[in-house]
Amino acid sequence: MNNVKNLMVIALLLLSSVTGFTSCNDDDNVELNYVDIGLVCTPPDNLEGVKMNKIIIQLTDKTTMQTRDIAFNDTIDSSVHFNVKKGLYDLSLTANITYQTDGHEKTGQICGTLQSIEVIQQKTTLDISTYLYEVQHNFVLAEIFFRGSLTPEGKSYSADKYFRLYNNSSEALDAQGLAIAESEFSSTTKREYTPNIIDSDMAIGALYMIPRGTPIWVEPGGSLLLVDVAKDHTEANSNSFDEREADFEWYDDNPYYPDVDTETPNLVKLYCYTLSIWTPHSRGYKSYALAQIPASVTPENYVENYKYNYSYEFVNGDFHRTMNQESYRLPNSWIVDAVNLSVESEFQWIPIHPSLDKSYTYCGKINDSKTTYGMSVRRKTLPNNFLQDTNNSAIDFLPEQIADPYFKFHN
Amino acid sequence: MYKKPTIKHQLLVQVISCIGCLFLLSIIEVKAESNVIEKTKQRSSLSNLYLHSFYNNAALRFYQYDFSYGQLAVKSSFQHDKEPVVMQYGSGFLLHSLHTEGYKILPNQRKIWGYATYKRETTYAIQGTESSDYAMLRPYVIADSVGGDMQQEEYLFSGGYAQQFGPYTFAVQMGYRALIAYREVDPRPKNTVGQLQLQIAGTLQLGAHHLLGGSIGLEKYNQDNSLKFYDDLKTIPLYHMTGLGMDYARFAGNNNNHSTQGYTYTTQLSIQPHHANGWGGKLEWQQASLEKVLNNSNNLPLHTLSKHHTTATIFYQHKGAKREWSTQWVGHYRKHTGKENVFGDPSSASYPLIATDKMYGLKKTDLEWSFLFTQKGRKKAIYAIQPYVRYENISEHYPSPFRKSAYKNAEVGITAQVQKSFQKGLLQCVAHFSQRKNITQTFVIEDLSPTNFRYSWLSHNFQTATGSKTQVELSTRYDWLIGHKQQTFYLKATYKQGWYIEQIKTSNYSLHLGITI
Repeated sequence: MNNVKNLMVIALLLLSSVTGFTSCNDDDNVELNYVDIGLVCTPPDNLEGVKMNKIIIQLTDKTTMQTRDIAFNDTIDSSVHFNVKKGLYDLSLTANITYQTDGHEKTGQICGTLQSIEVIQQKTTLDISTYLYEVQHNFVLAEIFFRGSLTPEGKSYSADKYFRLYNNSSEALDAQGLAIAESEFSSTTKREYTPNIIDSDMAIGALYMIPRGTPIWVEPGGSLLLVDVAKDHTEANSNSFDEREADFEWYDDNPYYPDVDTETPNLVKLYCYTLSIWTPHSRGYKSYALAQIPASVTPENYVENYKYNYSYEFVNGDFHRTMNQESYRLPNSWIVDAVNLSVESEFQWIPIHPSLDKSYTYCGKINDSKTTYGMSVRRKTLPNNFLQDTNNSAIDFLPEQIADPYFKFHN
Repeated sequence: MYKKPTIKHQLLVQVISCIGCLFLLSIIEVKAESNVIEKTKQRSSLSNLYLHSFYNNAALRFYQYDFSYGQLAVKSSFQHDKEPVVMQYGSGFLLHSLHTEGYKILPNQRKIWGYATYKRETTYAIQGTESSDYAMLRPYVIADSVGGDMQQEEYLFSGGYAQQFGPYTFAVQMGYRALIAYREVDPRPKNTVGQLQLQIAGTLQLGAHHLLGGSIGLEKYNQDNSLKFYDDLKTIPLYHMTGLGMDYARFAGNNNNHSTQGYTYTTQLSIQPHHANGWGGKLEWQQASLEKVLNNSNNLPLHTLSKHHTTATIFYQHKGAKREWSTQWVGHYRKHTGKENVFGDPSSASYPLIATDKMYGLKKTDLEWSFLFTQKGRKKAIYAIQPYVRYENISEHYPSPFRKSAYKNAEVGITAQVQKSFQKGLLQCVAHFSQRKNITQTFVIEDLSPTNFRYSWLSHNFQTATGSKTQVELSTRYDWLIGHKQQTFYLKATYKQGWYIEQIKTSNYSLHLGITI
């Protein structure tokens, strides 16, 4: 029986050990892998003697979509250090700067972004190129209706898509030569495209321009409505709009798929990837730009001089093939505004230079969400007839708005 | 119309066959044995239930009864409350089940037993999970902002065999559970669960009055989940939840196919007096690992949940001719750790693994002391009373962003039982009362808006877990002797009432009808 008693003593001790667990540190079963990051900032090419202060780094953990801001208030020449846990991140940087130009000291703000950074090594150095951020008062894309609408029978209707262009300045602007462009690449498929022209140009799949000839003055706070077909769509779909008041329509003249041509002036088609009828990407995978085409660039010499031949590696399991493609490029310097669209569940990258738009807006957080038919993305309003434009669509735009081609931005 | 899985029909046939065989077998063998009323009285007594966990060891089941018995029962249970206590368990249920069990003594020191159940259940207004077996998988479930009622069918089979060789007894026990859960409106989850259990056990007689027992068990678990929307206009995002309301946002949206697979290993070691007074004790270790993979993305492993559970039990029993008393201390320690995989940029739908972080953590400690006193009264009446005191300490953590939920509760309760046999039957009444109070609590979730649906789930569950709770349960069973006093037909009615914070109140009614032999 002594053995039995000994066993009981052991059991009692073990029972005591169970109670002892309660006093353990609450966090001892949590373990994170932190990495020291050195971020080296390259100032814009044309600036000298750059000193940065009030640096804010925003990190978005792509696994959880949690964002974290890291602020540095000291004046710094080029690099900062911070810790993050291992993972996949998007990083954006904004900083106030002082710099020398023509012997004078000036102040300004720089921005930079890095996408899909894999932070794996214990000590990682990242290089970030920055650009000077200047608030421009020009035309902006105020609203994009790319989803189309739904008929009362539940069928999709896409002929009523539209763009609203808005004069976001304090003076009347001439809209001649303004063009809307759709990106060649989508935000839901990231590939290594060669040559990579993102720093200088936007690869485009469609480009339609407001015709030249007579000035088209738009007052401050005024807008232009660009539609696919400028007709009363409510006759075909009571859930749609009357777009007969539109200023322009895009028209695709081809013998096989006749487009509807109304009395509303047509945009000038400079290039489109499709030989049939163009319509903005219905699921919202593409980026859109508003560009001022230089007067010296005619449709003919654009087609001749701005071709972009690129390739990428297609991989499917063990199958590899180099794919050669052809599209066109739109110089970043021509672009006055750009808006990235994507879908949260499918998003992979921003296919244009981050100085144009460093994030994206959306209609639907899941692919082809049927609940977002009839919805658009619309820019936020500011006082004095201005719309918000910080080249950051995630904060500049209101996603999933009830589309209205005649929406009044200011009373 | 939703097409129900055909596996259900195959399993139903198996269940009915098993139930029939078990019951018939029991009837044939049990006929000539001892009084069915005495057997029922012993099986249903508080003293039998008091040390029931020891008989999780299959070899010790050999010593549980010295008679054979069989039971066939149908049960219905209903609960439909205004608000749930735990969002993920819903606000009530309607349950119908068919249950049979048998325990049979064979010649040459051999015993065999079996158990089979078929359950059909509707659970009302589940929120925060579309996966089944929430208690097992939590927090790594799939969820959406809508939820709803869930239909469920479950089949359980278990059987064991034990044989004594001198001072040694060896046993093997196997069990299988299958579950199908679905909803016939959007969002439409379809969950199928398979769970296979195997245990090998042995005992050694120590001296004249003690049994040393040991067992090892292995369990394989699999749950497949798919979720569909028939109406495109009702499509909503799906979330692969991690800890304390976090989710794997990168794969949120329409990643609607996933599965969870894993193993559980259990080891038990015990010593207990056999037909004698004295001390006994048991130690049990359980280690489980469950991995969740996304079937849509080349079986991408998202998380691994490791669960450790240690149980220590000590008791002393004293059995006299008229009076019996026992006292028991039970301690549980649970530690759950969620390891979450972080992936880099995909290359042709293949995601490179770049890190694995220990993120979610849970620690739970339960300590309970109880005392059981049984008095044999006049005219074949038995009275039993069992008070208990329980302390629980639960802490959940998520490190990035920092979230914490922790509390300590104390509970006191008492259960009383009266068993009175008559010439033509047996009456059993049970009453239970318990009250819980919170000692300390911490709830830190600062990065979620209170209007966020995940915050409301977490907040609701925390409030009901830390608020005061009072429970009352009343149960009455009467067994009528039938068939030349070889069997009983019984009817059992149970009513449970629970009072939680403010307006949350639960009411549960259940009715059993059965035959015992």
